Amino acid sequence: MAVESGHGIGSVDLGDRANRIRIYQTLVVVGLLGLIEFLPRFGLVEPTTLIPLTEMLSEIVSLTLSGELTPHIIQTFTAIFAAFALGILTGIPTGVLLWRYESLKDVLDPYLLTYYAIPVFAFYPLLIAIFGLNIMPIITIAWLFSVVIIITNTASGLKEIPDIYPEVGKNLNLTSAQMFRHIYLPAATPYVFTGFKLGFIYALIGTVASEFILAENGLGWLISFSYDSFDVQTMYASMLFVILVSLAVNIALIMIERRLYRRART
Amino acid sequence: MLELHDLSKTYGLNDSSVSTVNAVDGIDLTIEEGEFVSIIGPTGCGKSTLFELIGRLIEPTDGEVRIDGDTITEPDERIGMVFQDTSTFPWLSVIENVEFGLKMNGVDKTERRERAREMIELVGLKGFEDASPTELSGGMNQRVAIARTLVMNPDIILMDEPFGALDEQTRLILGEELLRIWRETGATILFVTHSINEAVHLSDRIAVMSARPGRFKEVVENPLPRPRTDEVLGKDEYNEIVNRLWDELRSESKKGLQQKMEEEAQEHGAPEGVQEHGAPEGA
Repeated sequence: MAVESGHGIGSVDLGDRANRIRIYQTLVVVGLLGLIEFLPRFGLVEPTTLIPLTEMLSEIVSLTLSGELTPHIIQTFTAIFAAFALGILTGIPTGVLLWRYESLKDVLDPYLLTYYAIPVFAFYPLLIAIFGLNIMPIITIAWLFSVVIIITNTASGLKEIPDIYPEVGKNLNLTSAQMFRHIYLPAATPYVFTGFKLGFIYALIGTVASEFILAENGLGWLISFSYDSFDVQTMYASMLFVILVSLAVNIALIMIERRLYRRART
Repeated sequence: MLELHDLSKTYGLNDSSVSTVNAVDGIDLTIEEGEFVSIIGPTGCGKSTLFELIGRLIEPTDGEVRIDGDTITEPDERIGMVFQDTSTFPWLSVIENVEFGLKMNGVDKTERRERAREMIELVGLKGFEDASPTELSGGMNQRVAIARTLVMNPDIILMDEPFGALDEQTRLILGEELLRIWRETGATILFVTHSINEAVHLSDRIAVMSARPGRFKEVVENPLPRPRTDEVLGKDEYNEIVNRLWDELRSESKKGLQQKMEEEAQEHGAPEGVQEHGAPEGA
């Protein structure tokens, strides 16, 4: 956005600056990855503390090929997608209600704003007492983690719609269902999608972090289990795997999001 | 025929804490079929309120709007509205914008595409059917908005300063195009503007509104013959009517400015955010 608005005067300089920044950003990543690769290779760090990047990657490949990762991937992604789907199913209607009923929003606003100050993970003993030691407590934590950002983005996305769009609909004497489906919903889509993007990432964080403390399988569990059993290879491989997957998902979501915003900008 | 009968709107009536604002008061006007009438008035005189009242986007406090004799109580398909701000939907392409109303009315795809294409051609946007409104200039977006209104085949087109946000040249060109479209469709046009020149250039009659509460101070016949060529617009008659309208408007504009300044002073003085129109949703 900042670069966009700077167009006109000295946009060439800004373009140069943006390019320079991009080069530095790439250097930071390459540098870090290089450190991870070469510190252990040159014996500057104990191989029991850190293994070279290439070894992590080859470990991922062999773990995947041997099928060892598969049940953990299934477990973790089942939890993530279940929590995310629940987040959407409960978050969107709640967001719509908050937008429709201003007084409800006024009542709930302070709680929604301070929500992320609550350490949801602290509830895990309670959730285990309720659901038992299975996937449900994990899904619940991940859902609690992701739903609120979906609610707030839906509500504010609907609220930010310029008055002019519903006025066009009013002139056409649309029914409230048509109004919602064909005007409010598409107009709010970019904001709602931002909520989805963050909601997914929160569901992922919630799931992997919960698996550290309350699971018997899953990628989070695998990381913590291999740490406990001094299996540095598996630990780093599964850590890197989680990071790569969340990066890939994030990039895909950001690309969709950009396209939506580009379409929505007038 | 469009009749406005004693049309009035007062804001803040249901709200005990905020003083009421009489935006529009006792508007009477009869517009014949196929007529082009402009409404000019000073800032904040309730032009836009009147526009929304006629389109029935808001309820009048008093009075009524009649089309061919029957009183309308909800937005009517015989009235099409073109708004001042960009109102094209950025999530739809140009042609999808134009056919939007038809789609909502359940017109099948081949027919609505055909009619939308016709209208796009009429407003001079042929070749831009699949463009996104976000790629188009303000003037082109207003063309899309006009096509979207025309496609519904309204008897009456209401326009609220449709070229207000555009530069002078674009404004002139679109004004001429609007006259062409008006001739080709035979629609009745009610055109709200703050530009005297634009009103004189385009309309058969010009209603001059007073400062708030908005009333019609006078309705002036425009004697200029059509087509309004450069020659016609260069005549003394043109300057005469412009001067006459400005005479009518000057004192009202001053009053309007005065009101605005007083309101702003009040707003800065008042600690609680008192809203400009005493909007009904206030505390």
